[in-house]
Amino acid sequence: MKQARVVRSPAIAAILEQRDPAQTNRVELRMMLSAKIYEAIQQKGISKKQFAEMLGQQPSVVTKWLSGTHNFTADTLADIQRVLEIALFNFEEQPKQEKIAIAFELVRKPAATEEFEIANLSVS
Amino acid sequence: MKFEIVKLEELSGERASIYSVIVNDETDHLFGQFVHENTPNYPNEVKDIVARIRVIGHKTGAMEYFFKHNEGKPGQGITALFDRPEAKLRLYCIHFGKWAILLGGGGPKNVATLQEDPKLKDENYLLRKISDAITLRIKEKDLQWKGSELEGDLTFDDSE
Repeated sequence: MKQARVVRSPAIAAILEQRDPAQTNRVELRMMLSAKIYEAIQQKGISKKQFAEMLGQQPSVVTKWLSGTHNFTADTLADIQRVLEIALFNFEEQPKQEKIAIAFELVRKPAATEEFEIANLSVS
Repeated sequence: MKFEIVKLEELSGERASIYSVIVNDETDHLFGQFVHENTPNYPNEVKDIVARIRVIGHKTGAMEYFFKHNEGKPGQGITALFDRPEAKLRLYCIHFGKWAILLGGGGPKNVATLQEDPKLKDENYLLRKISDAITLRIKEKDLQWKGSELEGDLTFDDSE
């Protein structure tokens, strides 16, 4: 069976070219938080109304939280993760990555052999 | 009216397929036209909408609460991408499930009810017509879902 034709739109391409990385990151984070909270609510087997009651909030507030547009405070996220028993923050130290530069020359050995040796090796 | 369901390359991803519709002989699909019409007056909101849809396609899928439901008749799946009270734009979509959405058009939301705004009413009712046509074709097995891909006869002509 035939699949849909895949198309590009000049209008959308123009918008994506002007993307501000900071804003893109904010949008992504808000939506991923909402998605994670919603999945945790479902896994806990509670309704949106029950979740709202557990936090002393109106259901309409939870609707906004789950919409993917909400700018959460740290306090709200702390309360949500406590009630849902999930981790929304990850404070584990990531191992520091070190970059090193290695420079060397390959020098053909004397007596016209096909062997080479490393010369002038430096690591920084 | 003729229309063709197309898949949006820039916005579709491994989490959801993002579709729209090219109506009659238009050069762009409904969502592309929405972007083009509203960017001059609402550039930041349009960028936000495009960014959110891209996240839906690539990261989260079309989560139910990212949309306001029941913007059409029961069973039509007509939704609006969630807009905060201070937002100026409304975008209508068909929400098939977490795996796929079809983007329609929309516009500035100035008034309380849909019926009072000719532009929003036209866009909403067009999407209702499209939804009904898709539903009928799925019932007749001329269209089917294979994972997140809609397959089959994707062009419609109600003059036939």
